[in-house]
Order: sequence, then structure tokens, then C-alpha cells
Amino acid sequence: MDVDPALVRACQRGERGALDELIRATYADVYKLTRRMLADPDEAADATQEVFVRVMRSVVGFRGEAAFGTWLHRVTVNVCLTLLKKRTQARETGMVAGRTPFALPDDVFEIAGEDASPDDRAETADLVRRSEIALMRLNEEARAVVVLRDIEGLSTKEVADLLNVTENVVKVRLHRAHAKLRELVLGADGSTAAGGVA
Amino acid sequence: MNEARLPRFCREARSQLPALVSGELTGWALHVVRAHLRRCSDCSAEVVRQEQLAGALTALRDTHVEPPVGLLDDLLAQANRRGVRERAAVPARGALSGARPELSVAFLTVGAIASTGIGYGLYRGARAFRHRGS
Repeated sequence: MDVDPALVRACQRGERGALDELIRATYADVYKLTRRMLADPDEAADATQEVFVRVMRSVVGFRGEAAFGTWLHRVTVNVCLTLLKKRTQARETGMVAGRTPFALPDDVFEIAGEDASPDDRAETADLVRRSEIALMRLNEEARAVVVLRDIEGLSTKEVADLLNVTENVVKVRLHRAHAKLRELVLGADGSTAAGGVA
Repeated sequence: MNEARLPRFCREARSQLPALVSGELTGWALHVVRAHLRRCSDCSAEVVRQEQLAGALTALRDTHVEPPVGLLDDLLAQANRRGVRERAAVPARGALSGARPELSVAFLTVGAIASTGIGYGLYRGARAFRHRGS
């Protein structure tokens, strides 16, 4: 999430239109992260709104010690983790019967430039698409570590801090999540021609 | 193959493969795992699978996810709702109280009243002192 520091300063000064511009520049990235973390488009949209409410409340106090994009990333992850906790609590107290993985075989994300790709790129694109669907089929704990560690590129320590667990727990969850993903994406025998995860 | 049924060396090596693929494995552990991979074709094949998966997950970072229609409009409407923008645009917010502007106003008001009272008291005291002297 790259954000022009001048735009952030304009927001802090309360300049007209700056906040709108900041939202336009970042909302798609915020939505993408919430969508992956929550695996539910409606909840992701709600979470995106919550992220920007927090941004509006706190942007004036943002001191610029880290890049704004990093701060926004952290706010987004925290909002998602709060929602995931609530979801787990609701399930434990019997308020919901249990959530099935949301993604369906035809509910795939558009992969940029896929149409114009040559064969090898199409194969890679297919693998990526199947990985996306498989990701949605992981349980919430596993999906959170994969999204944060493998896709968002945070270190094991950063993931552990965010999830409030030890680094070893992150490693174990990641190991199990990878095993499940390999099974879903590549098939039990490791063949990429497994034909999807549906 | 079920991991529990693997030979012990393979199980131990496989537990290190995620770190190997992500480049986090160093030192003696790296040396031992590499040596095992040279001898074990199953584990070597497993590395290839993990690298494929890691590549696909990394590529996900750059995939486009289309936000729902209307989300941007909702966000902009929310930002322009009365009260929210004003709260974002108060530069002195939290300057005294940490995060609560109403406390800042209270501190300033109490401070102004107290300093006026002290000033008036000093003025009256100085006058009384002068009268007593004359």
C-alpha cells in the first residue's frame, strides 16, 4: 500500500478533497487484504468501512514514524483479526452453526493480464487461481498465517506479534497450512493436473 | 505419503523445508537438509512442490481483486458524513489530553480561571501592602 506522504499531510491539515483522494488510492488494496483474511465479500466490505472509520479518526495523530501504508496495513489486519475473533466466539457460543468456506469453484479472482498470457504463463495463472480458491478453504487460523506470511510478506516474528502467539506457533500453523494447500492445489500426489480443488 | 510414516530423517528434513524455501534456513541446519536432499528423491520432489506453492502464493500478492460495486461510493459518503470529517480535521485534537479534545478545552478553561484568580489576588495583596506602608 504505497501512499504519497504529501497526501497524508493534506489529510492531516483537513484540506478539502484530500481524504477522498486517500480513500480512492487505497480502498482496493484494503479490500483485497480483508477479502483474503475473511474469505467473505460482505464481511470484507464491512471491514473495509471499519478500517477507513479508524483511519479518519486517527490520521491526524499519525506521526509518520512508519510509512502510512505500513500503518494502514496494520490497521486493516487488526480489524480483520477482531472480526475473526468475534466470528470464533459467535461459533463457540452457538450463535452460528459453523461457517463453510466461502469460495466456490467459479468464484475466482480475476488475474491481471491472464488473457494475453502465453501457455506457460496461463499454466502459472491457473496454479495461482487454484491457490486462491484453496486459500479460501483453509480454516481461519491457517488462512491468517498464510495471508500475512506468504502473501503479505511479513516476517514470522511480525505475524506472531500480530496474532499474539509465539513464533513457533506461527511455524507450526504455517507448516500444516502448507501441507493442506499442497494437497488442495497440487493434489495428494503432487500432480499439478489435479483439476482444481472443487 | 502420510508424514507420520516417513523415515525419521525425512520427517525432520520436511519440517525445515518451509524455512528452506523462504530462505530463512541457515547454518548447520541448512547444511544437513541440503545433504539429505541430495540423497532423498522424495524430499527433493517435495521441495519442488513447496517452491511451486510458494511461487503461486507470492504471485497472489499481485493479483487483482475487484472491490464490490458501490463500495467506493459508500466509503466516500461515510467520509463526508457530518461529524466524521470534522473530527479528522481538528489539528489540536489530543494536544493536552492525549486523545480527548473535550478535556483539552476543560484544561484551558480551568487554567484561565485559575491564572486570573491568582493575578487578581496578587494585585489586591500588593495594594494592601502599599496602603499599610503609607
